[in-house]
Amino acid sequence: MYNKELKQTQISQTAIFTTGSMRASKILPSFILVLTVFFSDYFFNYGKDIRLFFLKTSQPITEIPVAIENVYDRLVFFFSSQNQLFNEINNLNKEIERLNFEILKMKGLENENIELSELMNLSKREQFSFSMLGEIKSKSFFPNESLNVSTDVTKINNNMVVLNRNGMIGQIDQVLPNSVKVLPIYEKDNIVPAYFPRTGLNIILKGTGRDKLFSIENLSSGVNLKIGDEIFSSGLGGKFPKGYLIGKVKRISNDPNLKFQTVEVQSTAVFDNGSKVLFISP
Amino acid sequence: MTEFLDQKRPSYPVYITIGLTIIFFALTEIILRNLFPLFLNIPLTLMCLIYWNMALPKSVGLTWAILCGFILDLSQNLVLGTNVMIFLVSSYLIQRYFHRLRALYRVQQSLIVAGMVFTYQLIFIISFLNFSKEILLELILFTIISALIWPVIFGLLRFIRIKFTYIN
Repeated sequence: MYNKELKQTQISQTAIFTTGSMRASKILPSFILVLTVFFSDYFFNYGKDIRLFFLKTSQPITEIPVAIENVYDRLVFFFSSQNQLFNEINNLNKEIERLNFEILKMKGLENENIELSELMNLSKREQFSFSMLGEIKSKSFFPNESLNVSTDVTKINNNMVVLNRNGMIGQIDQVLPNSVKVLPIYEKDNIVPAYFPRTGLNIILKGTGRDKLFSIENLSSGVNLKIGDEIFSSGLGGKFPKGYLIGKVKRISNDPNLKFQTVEVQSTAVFDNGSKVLFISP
Repeated sequence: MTEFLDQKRPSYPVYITIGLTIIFFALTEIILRNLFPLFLNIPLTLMCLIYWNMALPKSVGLTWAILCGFILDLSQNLVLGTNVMIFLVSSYLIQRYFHRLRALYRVQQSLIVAGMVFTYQLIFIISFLNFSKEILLELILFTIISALIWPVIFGLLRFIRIKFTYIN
């Protein structure tokens, strides 16, 4: 097959000055026929029906590009709009996340403001001899509960008591260079002078160091107590301010053979609540 | 010297192959014309005819030139015979000088094809008296493109001719 091709090429190259067998006489009849058709159509529009028929029959072919273009446009539109929607959804989700974070921040700020406001009001209302705000930096949880509070340590001394928006919560353990370590009011062996409003009896509460409990020291067996009785700070001794709820009676063990009864008081202090505290001297 | 080539009797596979390729190129041209609604376009049918007239002059004759010319006239809504006359003259010239054209290098053939395409397009521009700057730009652009794609069309049709028209 390829040998024939090669031969043909070789012959062509050698016959470069030859011509084909086509003569002008061969083309003339066709040309005259076409000219006749051309002028007939040009002057009398004979080809109108043929043209209409051809256009009608070839319509599917001529519409192929339009169909392709339509499909292409639809595909491009589909993918571009999908992509656009996808990006839009992503952006909106990011915006939602950002706004949620902002809301959380604002809520935190609002709580802090409320807390601060309550503490300021408390400070004004109670007319403490000295009060100063502090911000909790870190918290240690049970069993060694403590707070690390940043404040102006130069004005702080070890005899101060610590309050938060819920009430009295603790006392200063250590004054560090830039902060203050605060222990809970129910810390083991911590003594709080208190009284029963129902009976007016003054008592001494002693921290047990477990389960936020106090015990009442040297309470006579004759004292009439009920579970749930509220106990308030008496202010005696001058360290703790008067009238703050300390706790409620949780358990009473009254042995008639003994001179004193054993009473357990559940502290109401919420030690780890909030982010601000107030240092006071009553 | 070359009589055996000229006198070679064509067979039916040859006719079918030529017909199918010309129809295919004509349809492609129509589709491209509809796809890119410009005044001019690449005359693929003319180029296909040039190839077959050059490669197998005895098998093509003038019938295919007339037939595909009418198809293009109808598809372009021209006066019947416009394309046909150009195709007839082109076929005649190619068949007259096919020995010489075959012997040319592909680049030289491309230049001849470009010249024919240029003339073909120019006839349309003159007959429609449309001489805008854009159309002249199209004329130059499509002439260059035609010259560039001629080797591709030549190779493709040559491959088809060898593959489908030789009978062992």
